[in-house]
Parts: sequence; C-alpha cells; structure tokens
Amino acid sequence: MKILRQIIACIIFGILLSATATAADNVGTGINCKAKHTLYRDGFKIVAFYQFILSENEGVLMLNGKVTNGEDISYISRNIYFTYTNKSGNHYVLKNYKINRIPADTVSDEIMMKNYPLFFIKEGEFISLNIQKVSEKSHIISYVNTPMFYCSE
Amino acid sequence: MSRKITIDGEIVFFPEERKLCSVVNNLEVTVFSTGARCLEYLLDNSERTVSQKELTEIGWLGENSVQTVAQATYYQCLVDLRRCLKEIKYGQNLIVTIRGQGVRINPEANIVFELLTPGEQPAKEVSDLPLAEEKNTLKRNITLPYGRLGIALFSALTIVFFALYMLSTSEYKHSQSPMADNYRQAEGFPDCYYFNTNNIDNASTVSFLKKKGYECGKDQNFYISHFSVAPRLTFFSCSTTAPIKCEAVTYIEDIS
Repeated sequence: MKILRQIIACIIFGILLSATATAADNVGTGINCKAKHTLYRDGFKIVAFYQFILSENEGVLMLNGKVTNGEDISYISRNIYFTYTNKSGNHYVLKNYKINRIPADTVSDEIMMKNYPLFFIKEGEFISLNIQKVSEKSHIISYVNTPMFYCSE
Repeated sequence: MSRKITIDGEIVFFPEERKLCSVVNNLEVTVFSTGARCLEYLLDNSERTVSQKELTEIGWLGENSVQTVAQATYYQCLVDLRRCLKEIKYGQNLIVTIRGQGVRINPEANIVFELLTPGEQPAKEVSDLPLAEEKNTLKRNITLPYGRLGIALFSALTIVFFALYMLSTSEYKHSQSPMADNYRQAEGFPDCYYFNTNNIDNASTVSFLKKKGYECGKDQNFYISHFSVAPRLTFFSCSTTAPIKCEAVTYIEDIS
C-alpha cells in the first residue's frame, strides 16, 4: 500500500511539474506575435491585424482593421494596454487600463459594441483568453473556448 | 463529438442535449439553452469564479449582450439552473455565489469530463448506469483508500485511456495535424480539412465552407472549429508549406 501511494505521489508530482513547465512555456518568457482575423457577422466584414505583446504581467494589443458594411467603410486603429494574470494552465485574464485610439480610428462605438467584447472598447474591462503554444514561434489564442487567432512571431 | 460531464458521480450533464440526469434515481430534466451554456461554461471553468459579465456573454451569445440582458434575467437563469438540480434531487449546492465577484462551481464538487462515443445517447447512458446502491458502494470503495487524489488520478487515467480508445476508433483519421494536436482529418472528407476534435457537425461545416469558396487545391489547409455553445464557425486557413502561415476567419451565423 505504501509503495502504491509513493508511485501515485510520483505520478502526480510529474503531472504537476509537466503542467508547470507547459504553463511557463506559454507566456512566461513573453509573447510578441501577430495574427490576421476576418469576421463576418450580420453584413459586417471586419479584416483586422492583431499584435499581442505580453511580458511580465503587462501587455499591449495593437489592433488595426477595416470594417465594411455594404458601402460603408470605417477603420479601427487602437492600442489597448493591459495587465494580465495566469489563472491556471493556458488560461489568462487580461484587464485593460488604457485604450489609445489613433486618429485613423474612425469606427463608431456602436459598430465596435456589436462586434467586439468590451475589452476592446472601454477601459477597465476584462477578457478571458486561452493561449496555447503550438510551435516554436506560434500560439493559438482562444476566446470563449473557440480558437480565434493563429498568432505568429 | 458531444461530451458528458459527471458531477460528484451523482449527476451527468449532456451539454449538447441540455439534459441533466441523476444516476442515483434516474430522474432527468432538460435545461433552457441559456442555462445549459452557462452551466457548461461554469463547469469548464470550475477552478475559478466567473463574473456576471462573462457569464452573460456566454449565456446570451453576444459580446454586447452585457448591455442588453437585464440583471433579473441573469439571476432568473441561475435560479432555473438551481431548480433543475433540485428537481433531480441533487442535494449539494453546485453553483455558489461569490458576493461582488460572480458565481462558480462549488470547489468541493468532483467534475469529470468525457467524450461520448458516436451514437451514445443520454438516455442509454442513464439506463446503463448501475443502481443507486451499487453506485454508492462503488463511490465509497474509491473514496476511502485514496481520497480526492485517488479519484483525480483515477479520472485522469480514465480520460487518457478513453482518449486513446477514441483515437483508435473514431471517425478521425490518424494523420497528425501539421498545425496543432487537437485538429484531425476525418474519414469521408477531403484531406485539406482538419477538424477540431470537439466539433459537433463536420458535414454541414464543410458544406458551408465549400459554398463560401474555401476548397482544397489552393495550397491551403483549413483547421476548423465549430462547437455547440455558439453559432460561431472559426477556421484557420494555413499554407501547406513550412513555415506555416495562417489567417483566421470567423462566421457568426447559423450554418446548419
């Protein structure tokens, strides 16, 4: 019985060690990657480039995109500054503290509200992301359990 | 591939069918779709507290739902979920309110996730389960010698063996995705399509993609995610040559 317990303890220790190593491997040393994403929703087409920079619990998300709705075109160009915490494994919660809208940013808040989480629009908002390292230079970033960005250095 | 979530070995939740079933007394209740999405999300995130804002976003399927869903509606959803649990005689407080922060799954609850094999149905699941007395005996036998660690290890091994079994028997081909582990090619579909192993319906997804012009033969592979929790199809369109470069595309609409 004692040996069995020791074996179980070793296995659990190994699993924990492996999980810790995996988590550290994800964002622990920092991320600087870019992703392109196109969203189709209710007649809107949003083609946008996202650059995620995360390091030591602080980060910035640079978002540049074009919003098309029929004949109407507007542009998104903003930097979102945030802090983040690693809740467990690949799960990260980001809280923004500043959104810097660049003059080229002409999209209305109404359109943004329709298509983006509040994290992209208002300061002091949270977003919950899963960040999974899939290769030496690439991460898959999931939002609401759905893989959403393929982010490459 | 749908899944089932077992709570404390007493109740089983089938998110896709929105059914909560008791293995103790065989009672069954269907949860509202909003409640089902919320419950599934809470169980998926059982290690933490989920804020009202976050849960509203999930339950009512919209990033702007936070503005449109009344607080009373949100609380009613939680009341309905608790009522459903009570209806099937689950005696524990599964959904705990953390004042000022949100709600979470009771940290004492033992949650086990499993994928359902093709054709496996909730009703069959329940009828095949052992009688209440046998189940309780089994639970005692497992619990007493090793406590929660034993259960966790047992669950982990079960999941690993189940995953290996699924890999060897599922509709998915064995070829490894060059992009990420949790995508697989599937029998009966062209090789350029890789499916997230949590997908619900690959046939209508492929039909939708073809209609939109995302077809094989353009030196692109498509890595597709389409789950039950939202009318949202996301795929990565990736180059077939190294280094792999991908773009993501999301359609928020009902594709079925």
